[in-house]
This record gives sequence, C-alpha cells and structure tokens, in this order.
Amino acid sequence: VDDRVSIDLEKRGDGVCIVRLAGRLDLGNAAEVQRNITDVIAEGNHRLVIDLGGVRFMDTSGLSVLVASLRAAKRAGGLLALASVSEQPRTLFTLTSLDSVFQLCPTVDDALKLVSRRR
Amino acid sequence: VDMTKDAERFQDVLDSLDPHIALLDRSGVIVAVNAAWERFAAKNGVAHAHQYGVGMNYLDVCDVGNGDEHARAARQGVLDILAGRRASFTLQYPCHAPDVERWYLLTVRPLPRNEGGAVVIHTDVTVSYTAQEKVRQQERRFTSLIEHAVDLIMVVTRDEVITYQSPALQTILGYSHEEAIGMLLLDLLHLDDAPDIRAALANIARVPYGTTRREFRMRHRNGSWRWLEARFTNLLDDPDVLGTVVNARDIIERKQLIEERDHLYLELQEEMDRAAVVQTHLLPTQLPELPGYLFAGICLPAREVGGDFFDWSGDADRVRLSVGDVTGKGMPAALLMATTRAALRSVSNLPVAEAVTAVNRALAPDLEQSNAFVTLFHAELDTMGRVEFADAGHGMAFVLRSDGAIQELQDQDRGLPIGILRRSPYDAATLYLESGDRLVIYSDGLPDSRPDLELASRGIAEQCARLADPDAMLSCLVSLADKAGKRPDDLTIVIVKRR
Repeated sequence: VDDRVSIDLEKRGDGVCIVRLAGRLDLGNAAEVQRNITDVIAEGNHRLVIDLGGVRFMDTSGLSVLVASLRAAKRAGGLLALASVSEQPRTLFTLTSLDSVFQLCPTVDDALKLVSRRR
Repeated sequence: VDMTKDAERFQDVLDSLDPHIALLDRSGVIVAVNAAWERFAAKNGVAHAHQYGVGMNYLDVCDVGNGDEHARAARQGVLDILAGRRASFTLQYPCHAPDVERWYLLTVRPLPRNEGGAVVIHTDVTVSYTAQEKVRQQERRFTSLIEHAVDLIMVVTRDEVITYQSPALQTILGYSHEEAIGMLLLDLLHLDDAPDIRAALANIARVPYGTTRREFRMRHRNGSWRWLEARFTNLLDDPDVLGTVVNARDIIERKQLIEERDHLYLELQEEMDRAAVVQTHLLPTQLPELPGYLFAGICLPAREVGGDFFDWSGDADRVRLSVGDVTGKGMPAALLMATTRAALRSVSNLPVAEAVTAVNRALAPDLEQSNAFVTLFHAELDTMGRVEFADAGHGMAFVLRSDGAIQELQDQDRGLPIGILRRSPYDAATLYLESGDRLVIYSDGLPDSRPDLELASRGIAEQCARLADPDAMLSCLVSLADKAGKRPDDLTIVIVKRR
C-alpha cells in the first residue's frame, strides 16, 4: 500500500494560496502536512484553498489537520475552503458532522472565489 | 726494465678504476694514488681528506676532517689496518658537494706482502645509497602507518603463532611487544569464540587471499574481555608475509551502544506493556445486566495502547453505554482517551445530551491544544427498548432489525466531535429496539482495516446479519478486520441485542 502524500503549494499573491494534497492523508503523514500548512499561514497566506481532489483516503488524523488549519487561518483573520472532496473523505466529513464547519466547494475555482472575497 | 714496466702496468690498472685509490706505507704515508684520486682532488680542492697527494701522511689527512665522526672513524680504521688489528675496514660517509648529495664507501685493506701498508679505496655509492634510502624511507613510512594505526594488525602463521603484532595490541589489549612475542592466537581468544575463529582461519587457509570477517572476544592483559571486529586475510603463500593478516578493531563502544539501546527498548516496552494493562482495566470487564438485553463489546488497540474506548454502567432499570474514538493512536491518544472516559463517567448521572455537552465543554480547550478531537456515541437504554442517544461526530452506528432491515441513524441528530467547538450544542435522539433488533456501534478501525471492502453500515450489517448472538457477530467482524493483517487503527465494536 502506498501511504505517501504529496503536498503542492501554489502561492497566488494577495495572501491566497492553493494547497494541493494527493495520496493518503492519515496519521502517518498528518504532522508533515500540518507543518507545511502552518508555515504557509505563518508566511502571510491567510486565504487558503485546500484541494483534496487527489486524496483517495483520509482518516480522522487527516481530518484533525484540516481542523487545525481552519483554526490557524481564522486566528490569522483569514479564510479556508476545501475543494474537490472525493467520496471517502466526504463520508468522513458527513459522519463527523464536520461538513458543517468547513466550506466544501465543488471546484478549486469556486473555493478561490470564496476565499478571495472581501469582508 | 721489467720492474719499471710492471710498475707502469700497475699504475695503468689503478688509473683505469673509477674508485679513488691510494696506497699507504706502514706509517700511513701515501706512496701512490690513481688518476681518479687526482681528478677528484683537482676538482674539489683541498677540502676533503683524500685530496692530499703522494708523500703526505693519510693519518694527518684524516685529522684535518674537522673532528667529524666519519674522519675519526676512518683514522681509527686505517690505524687498525696498519697495525694488523683487522683485516678490513669499511665506512659509508656523506661527501656532499654544494649542489648535490654524494655518498662514498671507504674501504681500507692491508697490503700484507713486503713492507706492508694499506690500500685506501673511496667508491662513489651515491646511486645505490639513494635507492636504498628510498626503500628505507618507504619502509619507515609504512611501519609508521601501521604502528600508529588505531587498528590492531597481526600476522598469524598456519600454526596460529603470532609473528607480528602492531603496537595497537598494547592500547587495545594491554600486552607489550615483548609479552606478545611467540603468543598463540588461541591464548587470547575467548573459549566460546575460539572454535569459530579457528574454523574460519582453516577455511580461508584453503584459498589464497581468502578473507572473512568476524566479531569475537579477546582477553585483555587485565583479565577482562574485549569485543573486536576483525578481517582475516590469507597471505600464507605470500613470501613477504607468510601468515594470515588480522585487521582488528575495538568495537566495545558499539557493543555497549547496542546493549544500551536494547536495554532502553526493553524498558520502554515494559512500560508500554504496563500502560496496556492499565488501559485494559479502564475497559469494562463485566457485561451489564439489563433484563431483556444481550451485550457484547471489544476494544483492540493497534499498538500497546490506543485512543478508542467503550464503557457501560447502570442498574437493573437502565444502562448507559458509550463508544469513543480519539484521533491518532498510541500513547498520545491513550492519554486523551483516559481523560475523556473519566470526564464522561463523572457526568453519567446526567441525561445523555447534557452529559456530552458537559464533556465537550470540559475537554475542548485541552483537545484543541493537542490538535485532537474525540468522536463519541453516548446512549442510555431502558428495559422497554427505548434508546436515547447523543452522537458527537461519531456516526458509526446502525440498527439491524430482526427482519434484516438496516436503520442508519439520522445525520441531523449528530453534533460535532468533542473538542471542535467549546460551545457546540448536542441534542438527544431516540430510537426503539424491538425483540431481535441489534444496535451496532463501531469505530473507524473497522472500515479502515478493509479499504478494499469500502465498508459502511450496510456492508458491515451484511457481514454479520445471519448471526443471532452478539458475541458471534462481534467475532465475525473482528476476524473480518484482522484478515487484512496488521491492524492499522484501534478497533472498537459494541453490540446490543434486545431479546
């Protein structure tokens, strides 16, 4: 079983950053993903889109990374939206009711519009 | 005439020779020199002893040598020869010109016939001396490398006699050079290691340049044992070595580190085992005795300890039961699991929704700090089949009706996991169990152990629906999960059946 995750960061300026995750997002790599996202936020990217399109499997540790990222973005006065959530992660969001906490967008573009809006 | 001819022929012979030759009479006076002697004298002036010519006393000549040791030795040598005290004298000495290093060999031989005397011969040996010096230099260099090496180098014969040992023997094993001479390898080997080393030596002895590596103990001079790692190379047929070369080094530090690591690991393992026992005691050991119900429950951590738990308590009228899952696994999850269970126990007298609300309020700050959350299913059953439950983001529960129908619990009744929002509200929902109905609550360890089956409630129900007994259903689901091999996550299953 391939238990790797790939993390791709696309900083689009104006505090907007797309974090593309692919592979497995679980206990084995939760800390690594968390570090990356924390760093991106610390660099001033407060408007995050996390693209889960490539994530085939996610467990509750992966979910806790997303929760922590959401908290960090909000603390920094920013926004976080999830995009392209595939079936297995979506089930997890539903089971845990955490779909009510996150902004789940069908596409990255939708998510970008959401986080880019001025309040 | 003949005499003159012979003398001339004799002079011609002398002149034809490259070495500088002088003949001395009994008192040391130079009576003849050859052409090479004269040429050298002409070229080098009078700075050197043998540049003096016929009629001078060679012993005086030697005195001029600025009192240097070679001149003194040469003078003594000539004296000894003239006095008949020795049959031959040789001396190698430097005779450097400003631009080039030169080495000469002085040979003094007696002239035994007639009135005696001696012949003094200076031969230029610069070429052979330089070559020899180069070899000696190289030898000194290699010797120095070997003698200063940290590694111990030994040569052992076919009879296991040590014929060479580098000074590292003293630093590693404490024996001086003298003590080591003639030692047998066997004298130094640990009894338990000797057979293996001897077999290895015999083995490589069959193959020229055969080599092998071994770890073994050797006796230090103080009686203790030292761990060495050595490479043995068969150079028995190499005429310059005639033995097996042993390159050994002290690996006591490595051995100690490994021992220390093993010890630490063992200690850690023992502590984890004790923690596992403690955690096992946090799980129910007895089944609830609620009339009209059968219960089964199991919690299997993926490691020694885990973040899953289940609990139940109650009396003859009602039973409260809960299944919780802390994110992560292992020790960090176990700490939070114990905390969550204790918090939940402390509010077990409250109605289920209030209990979950209270636990969330109490634990949310700590959980947020740890970047963790807990999914929790908390229910209360009465004897009439009424189940009141609050679901904090757990969701993994369903009712399997006696006719095989599956009732999933409604999403809208579900709150957020414990630890997400401090002020999150939790509501209670109600369901009823009729005779033969089963309530199944599990943790994500079950579906996640078999990603190939994409298990949701329906799939899990189908796996065990044919079984009437909750214990049998439980065993069936556990073996289903364990078929995948190593458990990837903690696994918890609780089954309640109304008779």
